[in-house]
Amino acid sequence: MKLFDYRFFSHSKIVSGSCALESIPAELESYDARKPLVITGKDITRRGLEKKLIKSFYDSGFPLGGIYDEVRDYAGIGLAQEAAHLFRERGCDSLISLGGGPVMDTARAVNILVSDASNDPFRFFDGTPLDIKMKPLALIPTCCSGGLEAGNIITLDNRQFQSDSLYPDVIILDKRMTPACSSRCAAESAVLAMDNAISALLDNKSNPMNDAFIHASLQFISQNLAKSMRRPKNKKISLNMANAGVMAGIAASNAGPGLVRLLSEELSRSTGLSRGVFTAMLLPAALVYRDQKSGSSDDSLLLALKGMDVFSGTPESKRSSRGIESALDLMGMTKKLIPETLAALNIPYYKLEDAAEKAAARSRKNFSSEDCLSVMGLSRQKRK
Amino acid sequence: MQEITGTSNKILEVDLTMQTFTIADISDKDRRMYLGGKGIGLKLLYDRLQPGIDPLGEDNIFILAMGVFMGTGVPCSGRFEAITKSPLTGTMVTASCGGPFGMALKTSGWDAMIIHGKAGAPVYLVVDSQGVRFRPAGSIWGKSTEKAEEHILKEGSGAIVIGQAGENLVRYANIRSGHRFLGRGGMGAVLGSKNLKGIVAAGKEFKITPVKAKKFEKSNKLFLKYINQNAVTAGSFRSYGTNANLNLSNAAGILPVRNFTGGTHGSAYKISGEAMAENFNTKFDTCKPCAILCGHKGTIEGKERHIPEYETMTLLGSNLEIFDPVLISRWNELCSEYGMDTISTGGTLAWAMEATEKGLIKTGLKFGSPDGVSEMIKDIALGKGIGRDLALGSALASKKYGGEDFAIHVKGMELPGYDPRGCFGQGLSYATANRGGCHLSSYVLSLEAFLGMADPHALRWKPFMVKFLENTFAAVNSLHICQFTAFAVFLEPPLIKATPTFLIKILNQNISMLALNLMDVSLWPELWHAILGKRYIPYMSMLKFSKAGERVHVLERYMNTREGISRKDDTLPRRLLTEGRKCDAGEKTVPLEPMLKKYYRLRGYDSNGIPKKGTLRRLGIAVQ
Amino acid sequence: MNINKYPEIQPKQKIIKKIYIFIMLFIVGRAIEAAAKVDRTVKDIFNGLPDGFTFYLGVNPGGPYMVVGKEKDGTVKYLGWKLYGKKISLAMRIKNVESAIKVFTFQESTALAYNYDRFIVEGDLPRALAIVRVLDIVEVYLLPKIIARLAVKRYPHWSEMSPMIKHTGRIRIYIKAFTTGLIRVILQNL
Repeated sequence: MKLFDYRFFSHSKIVSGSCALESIPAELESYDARKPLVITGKDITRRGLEKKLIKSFYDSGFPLGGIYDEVRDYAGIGLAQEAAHLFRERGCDSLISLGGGPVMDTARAVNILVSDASNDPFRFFDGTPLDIKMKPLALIPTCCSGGLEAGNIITLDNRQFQSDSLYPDVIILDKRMTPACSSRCAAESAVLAMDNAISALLDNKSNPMNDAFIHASLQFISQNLAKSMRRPKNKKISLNMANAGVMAGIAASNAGPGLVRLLSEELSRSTGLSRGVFTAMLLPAALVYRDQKSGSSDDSLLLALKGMDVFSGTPESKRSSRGIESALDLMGMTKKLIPETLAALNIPYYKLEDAAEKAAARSRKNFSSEDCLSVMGLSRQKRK
Repeated sequence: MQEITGTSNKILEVDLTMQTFTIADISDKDRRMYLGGKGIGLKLLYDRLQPGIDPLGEDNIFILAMGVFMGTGVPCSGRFEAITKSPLTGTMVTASCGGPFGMALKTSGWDAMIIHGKAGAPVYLVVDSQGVRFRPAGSIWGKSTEKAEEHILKEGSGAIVIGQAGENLVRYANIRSGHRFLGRGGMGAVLGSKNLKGIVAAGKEFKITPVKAKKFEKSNKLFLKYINQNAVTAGSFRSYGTNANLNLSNAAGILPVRNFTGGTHGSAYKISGEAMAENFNTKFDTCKPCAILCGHKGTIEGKERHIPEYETMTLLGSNLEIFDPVLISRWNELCSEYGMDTISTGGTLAWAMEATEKGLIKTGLKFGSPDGVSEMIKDIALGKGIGRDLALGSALASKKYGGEDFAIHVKGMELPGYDPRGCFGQGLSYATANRGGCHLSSYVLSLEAFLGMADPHALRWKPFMVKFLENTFAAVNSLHICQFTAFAVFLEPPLIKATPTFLIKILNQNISMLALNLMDVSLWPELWHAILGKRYIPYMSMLKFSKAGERVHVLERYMNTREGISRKDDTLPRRLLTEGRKCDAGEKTVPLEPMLKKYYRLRGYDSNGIPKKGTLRRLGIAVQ
Repeated sequence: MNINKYPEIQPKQKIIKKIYIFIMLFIVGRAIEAAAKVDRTVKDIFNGLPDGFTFYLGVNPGGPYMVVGKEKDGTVKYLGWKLYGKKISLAMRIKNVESAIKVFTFQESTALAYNYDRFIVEGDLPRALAIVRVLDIVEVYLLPKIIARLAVKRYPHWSEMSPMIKHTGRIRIYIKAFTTGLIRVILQNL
């Protein structure tokens, strides 16, 4: 791999800390926007987070065009069209996504609909490049993260495409918004961030810029994971984890999709369980499988997880295995909160095989369906 | 003609791969615990089927099970059950059906038929009292259900066949049995995957007589009397068929309109049973020995056609915003020819229309317009173009193209023609029905929307009502007898008949457990005991009957959980949980969670919806 | 779709916080005027600034302001809380009310607030830093040690500012802030 032959892009301005929410009006003003529409979800309004956002707009002189809170666990074109209609009726000029995952995907879809003159957003999913001027989009991550909201991928109605125009313009990390609703939610978001970071690190497109984000992200996660699961509502710890999640998301957007991400997406789509559950199951197995298959040692994981001291103190031959051990230990901390195993879920073999084949088809030959099956702990059964 | 007293208890077990057959027996214990029909079929499947297999693979098993009532002359007993693993939902699916096949198989001396494996080339089976013969079906493979049935009926008196939809593995292909269909869950595709075009039974070789003839006569007479005096069975269904429900649904606001976005429509009267009787010179067209006579045929477009049932009128009609009965009957006939479930076809077409509207797919379909519908039905049956994806059902098609929020299905099976936002108990029933979006699992909507015996929007006691009715109908489907006789059996006994409806409603809403448990459903177990010659103990036997029904239902649920079904699947489509309708003043959505929690507790399931070990032990279900 | 389900939200005002900031800015402004006569360091800093130099410290977008200027004759005066009609050489705006509260309740020192990107500065940056030094000194005079420690970057050692000078300066500044020309400046700004 040529070390300095790469491409890295991250468009977002990140504002983190206290009073981060109050800086949104100033940030939007720098993009010449004065009336944002807020897209959020029922989970978030149930916890009253949108009230904190409204309060942060006091004294700013900025009206909010409306708070569209119909998003639940799925980003669909129907919701995006309704929100786009609201956007146009109120004369809004920017978007705020209060929440990650499907909320952010809906906000991106609304952005495409209101910025694009033709009424056919799906042509971008079919390959047309997204080179229209988009409205300013601010992201405020909350607890239940989908892992990729800080990146440049949109998943709408089970279709995906990636484009640099999809990065949010501003990412606001405020500790009033980041505390998790439950330990399990914190664990799942952490697992998704870990997968993003580790898969990006081990990807063959890895480069020094990406590594900087990954190292910082993994450091934050390893320092805060246990605490965030014990005290999910603690503001400081959750802010640290949210920072880690954003960094991991940006790193993942600059690397290829890993086996774990694609396979967990397909399994989640087929069974209806969240992607976090499958990632927690598959990531450890994928690491072990990769190590066994590749044969060559890769010491980048140890450096990222444990830092230079431990790295230089470990003999070269042992670095790869120790790196994987550290990663497995880190993942193992979530076992108590995400105890499901693939066997216990009773998913029929033919559904697993189907998901493996779909994931391999999307991987552009980086891995095969046999690899997916091995990671799931299965060998291919002969279909009669 | 030889005679069978009681029932033969004989099973014909066929291996299509080796083209051999064996004969087995239904044990007395299984007979007592599972009654027959659906119960026996599920037990036989449980003992043989491996969990986790592909429903369209060689390892799937297809079972036909007759009830003890078949052949004895009990009114409305001409129905039989088919049980298999569904390719549409991945769970167990059972379907009940009329037509002459059931009688033919039973009077050939068989109580059940089990089909394993896959034939090397298309075959059809000829069954008689000696066993089964394998005939090549190459000449009828690719033919419509009507032509195939005509061909194989030369060798017997009753037949079931699949059409091109089953051959092409359309996930909701059905099996034709005379003028009726083994409708839901894609059973036609299971037979298609086994290269089995059809089965014909010789029939008329045995006479079935009950053991305790006098007792049987007495109960039978009373049963017939109840059916003939009940307002629903002898009144609305006899005169207008199942479409008698259409005007009632429209008035109650539970008619599915425009892919379940509306609940009523001004033109609904055009497709009601009354309008059909008026315009199309309708006559009876039913299975023997039916006493309700709900099936009708009429003269439409110069031809004699079966009048579409309520579900077809709604899913291929009002749900697509079409209110022309001629068009609907044309599409009904097309579905019958190809062998496709009209409910799932209609549900998938409605999804396709909305997906086209939103730009997710490109078809020529539009709500309110008949253009392209016939062509699309053909494309689905024959696997052409986007029809190949629509043949997977709206659940899988929406997973591929998006639009999951308006794919109206539960566990993969499209919802039938009753919108649960107008009757919350039915919402719970849809979510928990074992085979997916099925209205017949408990049919509690009849109490809520039609008979006025329960408040449609109250939540109290609904889980109990759903559980009670699910158990009762599981037992009814094991007897086996038509579920519509429940109207007669529940409502005609003197105590209930004398109680005014408003009082029943009050009792049901406030002390449902007491009210329903006092219902006298003894006629059914009386007949069952009389046919088999077993001792009938008043009340105790009725309780055992109920328990048998519970056993059948929980066994099916347990088998489903082995396929990965759990709480996450016991849900309703997003539209029904989150969007209100304009026709409804409060724009209500179904509050599923509180009802579901209580339902699990009542059923003895854990919080994830899996039957607890104690529950299985209490019901005598051995854990495998 | 019923868009009235998602009403437009007009921003309200944080009246009490704004009143608090207004009072703090008023006191600080008057104290700067007083300190320019009392303290040598402040005097030197202002001597280094040109005549007619006017700056304001306030809250974005329309929040309370404090305008201080150096007259043509070299005296430093608190010019009030209105920006209208004044020629501003240096503007230091705090981005929002919450950040201003953090500064004026001493949860963050001015220097730390700069670090956290809470200020927008328009004008000469070295002069802005000089003004921040002035603010630090004024705060040392105005506040008891326990609070001033939080507000300033570095609390001066007793060798740099002896307790005698500090306490006498404090008394003089407070007296001057609340007496000299107070009525005049209030009337000018109403």
